[in-house]
Amino acid sequence: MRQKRPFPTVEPTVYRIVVRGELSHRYLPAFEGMTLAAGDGRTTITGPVVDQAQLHGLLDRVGDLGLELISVNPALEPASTAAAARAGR
Amino acid sequence: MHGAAPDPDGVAVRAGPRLGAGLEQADTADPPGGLIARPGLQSLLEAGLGAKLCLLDAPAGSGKTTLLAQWHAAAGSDGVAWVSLDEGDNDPARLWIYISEALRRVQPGVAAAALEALHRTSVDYLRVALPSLLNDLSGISSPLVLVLDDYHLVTDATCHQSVAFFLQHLPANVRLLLATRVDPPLALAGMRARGELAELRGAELRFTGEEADALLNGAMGLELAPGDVARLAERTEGWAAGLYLAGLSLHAREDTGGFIAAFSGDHRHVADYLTADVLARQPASIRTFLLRSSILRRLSGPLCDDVLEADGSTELLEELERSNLFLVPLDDHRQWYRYHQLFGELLRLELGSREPALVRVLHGRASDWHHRAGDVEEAVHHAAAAGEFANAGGLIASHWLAYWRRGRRATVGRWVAGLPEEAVMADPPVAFVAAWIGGYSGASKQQCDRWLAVVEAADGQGPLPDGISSLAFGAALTRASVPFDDAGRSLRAARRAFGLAGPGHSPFHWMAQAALGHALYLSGRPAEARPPLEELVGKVSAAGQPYAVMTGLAVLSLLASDAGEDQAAASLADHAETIVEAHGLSAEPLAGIVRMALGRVLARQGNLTQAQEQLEWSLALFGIDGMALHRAHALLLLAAVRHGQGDLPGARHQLHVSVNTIRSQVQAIYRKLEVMGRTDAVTQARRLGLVPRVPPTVTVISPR
Repeated sequence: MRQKRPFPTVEPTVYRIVVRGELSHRYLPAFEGMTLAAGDGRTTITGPVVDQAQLHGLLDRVGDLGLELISVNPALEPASTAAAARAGR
Repeated sequence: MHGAAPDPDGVAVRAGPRLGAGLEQADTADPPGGLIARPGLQSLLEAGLGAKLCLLDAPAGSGKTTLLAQWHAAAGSDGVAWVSLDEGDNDPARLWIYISEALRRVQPGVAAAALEALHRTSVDYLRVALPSLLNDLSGISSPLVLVLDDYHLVTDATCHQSVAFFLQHLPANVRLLLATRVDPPLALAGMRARGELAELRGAELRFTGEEADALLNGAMGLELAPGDVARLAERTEGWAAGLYLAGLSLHAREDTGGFIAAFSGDHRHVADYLTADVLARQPASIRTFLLRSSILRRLSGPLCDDVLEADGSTELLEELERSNLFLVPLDDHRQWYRYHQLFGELLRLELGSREPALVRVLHGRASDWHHRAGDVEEAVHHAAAAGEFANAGGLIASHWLAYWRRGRRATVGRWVAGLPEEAVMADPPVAFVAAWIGGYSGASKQQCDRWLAVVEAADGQGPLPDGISSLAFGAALTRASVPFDDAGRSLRAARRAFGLAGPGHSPFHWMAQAALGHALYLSGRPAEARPPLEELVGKVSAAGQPYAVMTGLAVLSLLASDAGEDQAAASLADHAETIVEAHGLSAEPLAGIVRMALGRVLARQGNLTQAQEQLEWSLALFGIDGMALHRAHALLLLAAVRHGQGDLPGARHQLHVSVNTIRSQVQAIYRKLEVMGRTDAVTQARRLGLVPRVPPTVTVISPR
């Protein structure tokens, strides 16, 4: 049975997931709702993450696609700012 | 319950034979084109099988399955039982059916009893099915290797627990070989320390320079210069999938040196760079086939013809297999294939970016095909992926009961979890299934209430697709038999269910009557509880209504113990236990009530050790939110037993747990005892014989 979030998160946290290799936009659908930024031989996958289950799902996708994980960090900016920045782009 | 629902087990077994790739190559010495022998790794693997558990633990595309298939081909198929896992195997019943079938294929004498147990309503894996399987395995003299490929797809905790148990009790002649992308939760550190674990990890699986040369220039016949091979090995870091894609990309290319130089100087991800290129170099017909068929978890000619609206898929699949293009055969007869996992992912990614609108259409056709072929599990999966939630819900509502009755609760749970919450809430029959399955699988009270509110708000319609008489009845029966922490609510629901069940003799009528008697007992009304339960056990055969009769006998036994009728209590509890065993109900949460009845009888006979065992067993069965009330009751009985054993700290601990740790249950205990507070509760509990005369040290436990 799917675990419902025990503690509803008011504000999702923005996460930055860095993988090795530069990914093209072909990989965007694999990380729905995230942005990809490639450069310097790595790709940063950034976007709002509502809970641990979603984060683990994203990390599973990284593994499924044979990508090498370098780091996972919460970004300091709140998700609403990130969303606004994306919408304004 | 009545309808023509196909047998879930029949579906599971037909869901494609699950022999490993490479079986059919057992009699040929040379690996097929595109693959190279890796003798160094094969001997490492062979040596690893000296340990109890051999772990092939490396990222996607490292060549794990290929290595296994080649080892298998070299070792011969005698003594190797192989199961390729998929997401559907997150159901312990299905997982162990497949494992038992695989074991039986190589050792025809084993697993018959385990399979029989696994095909019953629900089975206690750790006490019944696995001990029987392990016992069979210890009886064979020859060595046997059980291979579980793609073990990372197993995420269900019960499945891991059962594999850990299996491993812990593995006979010396049997080895377990797991291929996985992630470390399995099987207490590896301890096994490592005891020398019971052998590991082949990513570093070992990397292609060396010589292996890269053997692959590219040998097996793939590319005639590359040594420097180019070295550059490719360096660029891909020996990643098998990368080297292989590079080989495909270089096939029949004029300027290989120029391509390799460009590839080496590029920072793009290896698979990203090469997949598009490899696809671009295929003829259009093959490219289209690869992309569009990638949505299927298993492929057959007729299925692909239908989903792609094309002809000749059978021949195309054979051609793809011959040219070693991403395809893994699943049987000896070239009927079913699957894509190599990583390439399947890459193909789906490419399909999503090229023809995004088509993805759902393809899933919809796949769902229809599987539905016609009688494979409910795949039909539900593809309907959900197609966004056809109403179709998926219709399939779930029609077929869930047959799966539930075969102990496939986890499978139904996964179906429901595969739908968005909005779709569940928009479809009352599905919300009912969600509440029923959720209630028995550990969902919270809040969540179940949300689902049931939808069910109760729906118009009173006639019988549901599963044969349940109405939504209102289904909701009431759910609330009655999954009480959470509220005896009063359970009783009200049981009365409602009883009223809605319709006239006697329908199966549902008896289920409601059992729930009513049980709820009356839990609400402290023994005099009212007895008549409906006595009528039930007198009139109904256990064969037709095992749940209802089991519950009735167990509650009557508890009532008899309360009244001091020890002989009657003992014979009722024994009878209830024979039903549990005969119908394979031993892992059902509700079977905990039988354990409680037995524990109570044993305690009154002064057999405190066995009483404790039964009560602890009932606690394990009641370990979900929906059974909190029963858990509190069992804890009280256990405290009495511990006290009787002179184990005051133990008794104190049980009461402490029942009062403090599971605080939400306390109000329910009080309600059940019809008291207002803790002191009252203890007095009343003593009067009822739930708790024997306890010394003050126990009664003054502070809740904090």
